Amino acid sequence: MTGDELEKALSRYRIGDPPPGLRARILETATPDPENALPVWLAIGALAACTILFAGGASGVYGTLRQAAIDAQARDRNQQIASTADVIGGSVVGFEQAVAAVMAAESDAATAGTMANTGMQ
Amino acid sequence: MPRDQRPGNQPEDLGQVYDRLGPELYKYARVVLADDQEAGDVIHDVFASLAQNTEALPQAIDGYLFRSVRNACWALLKRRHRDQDNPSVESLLQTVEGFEDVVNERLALQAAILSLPVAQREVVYLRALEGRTFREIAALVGESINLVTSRYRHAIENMQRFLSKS
Repeated sequence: MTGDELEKALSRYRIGDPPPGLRARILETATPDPENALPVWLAIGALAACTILFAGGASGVYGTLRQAAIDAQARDRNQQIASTADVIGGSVVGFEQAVAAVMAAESDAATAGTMANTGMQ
Repeated sequence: MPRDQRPGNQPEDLGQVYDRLGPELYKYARVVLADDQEAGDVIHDVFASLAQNTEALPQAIDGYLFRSVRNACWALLKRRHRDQDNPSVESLLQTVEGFEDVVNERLALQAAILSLPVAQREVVYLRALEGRTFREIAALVGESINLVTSRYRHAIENMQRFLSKS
């Protein structure tokens, strides 16, 4: 068989067609099944629930951090008052004077911080 | 086989695209992969991917689909182990309407095609069975016309040798 004869013979044939089910299989996969699709209301509900949980969690974390800062500040203040009262003499009057001194020092520090932040000298 | 026959700029849905291009792409995959099941899977995967990216479809969807199918076929061939490289196709060739079905000749030609290396099988399909010009084939497979022509000539010679032995 020559090359020309072979090509002529090949021209009498074609490749077999795809199985009939292939088209349906493709379209079935490509088109979402409405019965199995996630309902819109469910998606919205899930999103809202996530938002609430996240916001709640975030505010809880903020509250915890804020409380920890307050506790640390109070602990420092008590230590300062105790040590100042010891220096003054440890009496009731000395304790009251120590409280007044520590509070006055905190007030001065707060005022200085505010002035520094606003650029005042 | 893709020939950019999309009428005007009318948008097509997936079913229309499949009806126009799917069967020819499937035949190409059958010849290249020599496996009916894998050919069906490749076509399915390419069209499923197309359905998910309908907003980003290129204008020349025919060429895009051919390249997608070709890339998928060749990627699959690379993953195949040598011992799995046995043809698994039923009735690869069918007689064109109007011609007598000479079963012995059909089976011999089918065996000769399947005996070829994949690249030669590809060009024999596109040229001898699809009637493409060498220029079209070169553009489709992204190679030079000379290379494609030479590959086809070798394929015909190999088929002649195969048929003379059988």
